[in-house]
Amino acid sequence: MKRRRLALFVLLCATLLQSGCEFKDLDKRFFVVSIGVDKSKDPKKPYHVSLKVAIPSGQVQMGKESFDVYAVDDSTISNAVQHLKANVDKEFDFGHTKMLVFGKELAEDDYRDALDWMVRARFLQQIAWVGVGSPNAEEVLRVKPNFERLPSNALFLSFGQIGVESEFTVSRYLFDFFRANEEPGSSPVLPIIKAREGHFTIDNAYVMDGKRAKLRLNADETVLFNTLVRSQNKYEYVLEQDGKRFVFHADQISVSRSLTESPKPTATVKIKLGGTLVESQDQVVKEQDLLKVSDQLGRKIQKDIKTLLEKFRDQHLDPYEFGLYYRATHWDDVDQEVAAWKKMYPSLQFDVQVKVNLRGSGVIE
Amino acid sequence: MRENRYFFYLVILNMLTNVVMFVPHVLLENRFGSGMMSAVVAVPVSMALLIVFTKQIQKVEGFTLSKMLQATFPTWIRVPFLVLLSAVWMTAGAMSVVVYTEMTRRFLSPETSSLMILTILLLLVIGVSYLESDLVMYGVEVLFIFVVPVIVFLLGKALFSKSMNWLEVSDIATHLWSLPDLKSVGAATFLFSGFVNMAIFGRHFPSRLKPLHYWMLGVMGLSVILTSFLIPIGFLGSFSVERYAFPWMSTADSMRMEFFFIERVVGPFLLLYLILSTLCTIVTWHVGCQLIDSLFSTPRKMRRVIILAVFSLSAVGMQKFLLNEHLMYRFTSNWLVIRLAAEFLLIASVVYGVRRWKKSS
Repeated sequence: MKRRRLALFVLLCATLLQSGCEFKDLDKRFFVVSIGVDKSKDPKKPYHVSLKVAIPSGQVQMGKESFDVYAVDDSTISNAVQHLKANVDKEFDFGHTKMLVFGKELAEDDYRDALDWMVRARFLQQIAWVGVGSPNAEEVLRVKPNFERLPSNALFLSFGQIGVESEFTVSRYLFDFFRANEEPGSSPVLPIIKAREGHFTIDNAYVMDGKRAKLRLNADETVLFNTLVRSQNKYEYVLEQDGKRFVFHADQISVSRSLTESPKPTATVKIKLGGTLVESQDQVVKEQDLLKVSDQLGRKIQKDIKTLLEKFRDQHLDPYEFGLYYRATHWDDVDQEVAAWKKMYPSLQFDVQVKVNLRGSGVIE
Repeated sequence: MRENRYFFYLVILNMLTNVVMFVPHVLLENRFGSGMMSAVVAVPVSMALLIVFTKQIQKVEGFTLSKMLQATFPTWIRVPFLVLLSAVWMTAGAMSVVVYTEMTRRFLSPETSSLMILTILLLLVIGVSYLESDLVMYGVEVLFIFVVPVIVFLLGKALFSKSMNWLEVSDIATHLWSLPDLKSVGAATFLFSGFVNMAIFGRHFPSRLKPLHYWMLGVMGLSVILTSFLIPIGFLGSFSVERYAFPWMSTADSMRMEFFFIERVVGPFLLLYLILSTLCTIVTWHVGCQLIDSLFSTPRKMRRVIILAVFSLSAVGMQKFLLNEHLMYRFTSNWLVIRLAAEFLLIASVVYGVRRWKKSS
């Protein structure tokens, strides 16, 4: 019994060795909340890396946050991060890095190495948000919104849909961006974050071709794309008719797609929208008008989506992942499937069917 | 349920540790080829082994492997056979801790030395494994009550997550029609091989399984193997999944708990696998050291501790030898096939031995 106690004591003493784990206390760390990667002007040091570091404060208050942005040019991203350590007195901690921003110029040139670094670095989380910063990533990091409580929190809230839910916002996690980038049957889409004085505007998006940003979607196209992938649950569409406008608010959406190969390769996209009118510049909306308006709305959305899909097809982009859908529904060998799809996609026809259920015209007729 | 639940613990423990043993890696490597078919084929193969084995040991009251071998086989077969079996068991336990050490070091504490983590885990394993079978089993039961609800929660979270891309999953599912290969089947059958631990635990916890229990095990095994194979594909994508060194770790990192006080799932996931992989080592090494101990006429605790110390030294050696995850992967995937062969051998000897034993007595 005595010997056992002694053994236990020795074991307990062994835990004292554990303090040697090079652990740093919280007050010896700087939390990096966002990372921006830009293209620099120096061809020898192509990367301009900026880190946004949160400075902790005792009281959390709107607009009272403080942070610092450090930036440096270097030949590699890791070198730049190591180099930036020379500016501060505490160790960088990437445990709260939840926003990764590519500069616009870098995204339009070649973002693959930067993406590779982000996925490879074990300290960056896979559920970080990814976006393209305009005019550049550093500007986006430097924005200080008046309504922000914690550094970079505004972006986390916009993308996480815990706060605002905007039909213009495309949200992408790092792992999902990487997935779509490697996937032959898909083209990744990233939001464009425009830096403004005291806030951000996130209403455009880029479609990538696996190497660079190829197609810029404007605000209307972004809404239509979001409708297709159902990333949000509320959308508004405008119908213009004889110089008068109606605004349709859709809150029930279902989208389905299918592919047929004969006689001609055709993709069928069926969309059902349910909602109400929220604005009418024609003053009174009568019962018989409702049917007419919903019919015309359906035709308009149908035309817009078809145009958008054809635009993607002509640019050899596939953000709605028809290619993946093709592979998911075919039982052939994988290389054969990829090759067959590559041959088929440029001549693919689209059959878009939109059904609008107008449930009412709001509070008044 | 009576005593049958202990049998279930042993089988489920192996099912859950498959992630650490590179089982999903082997299947993911062949995901466009034989992976899917092998996962499906593995279920009837290993269920057949399981049913034969349990039926045989139920025929003898208080079955132990060593007693049966002693009664029916000459010494020159019995001794090398038992040493070989315990070596296979030892490798299972050693790989489980070594791989887990590498995982924590990569994702949790890159500054800590791997030897330190491994030593602490091994001390714990030695301290538990040398005990009698019933004590070990009660420990397993207590930890199971903690672990299983969390795992069910995480799996549910993954399956109903918005990030789960079902098109990618059905892309892989539509590659079902190809011939299974040995390596993948060897990996997939590992999920069920917890039943061989009954060779030792059977004495204290005899089980009487009914057809319903076999069905339960089969369905459970199939769903576990499909989830551990297909969830990484759903999250990481059928093409990019092979780019990840530890696909399941990255899958856990890709899950997000918005309304929990920690957002990342990696932390709980690593903690969970700390428990599971250590338990796996405890159970397999317990069986391994009991097998060697049974070669001597009287069982002794001190002898078992020494055997476990030898096991630990070889685990440390393995860690030194298998420097990176590629070497570990190659070693483990080959070991999984050897294990399947050893399992066949064991069951053949049990079938033969039990028949002769019953005849002679």
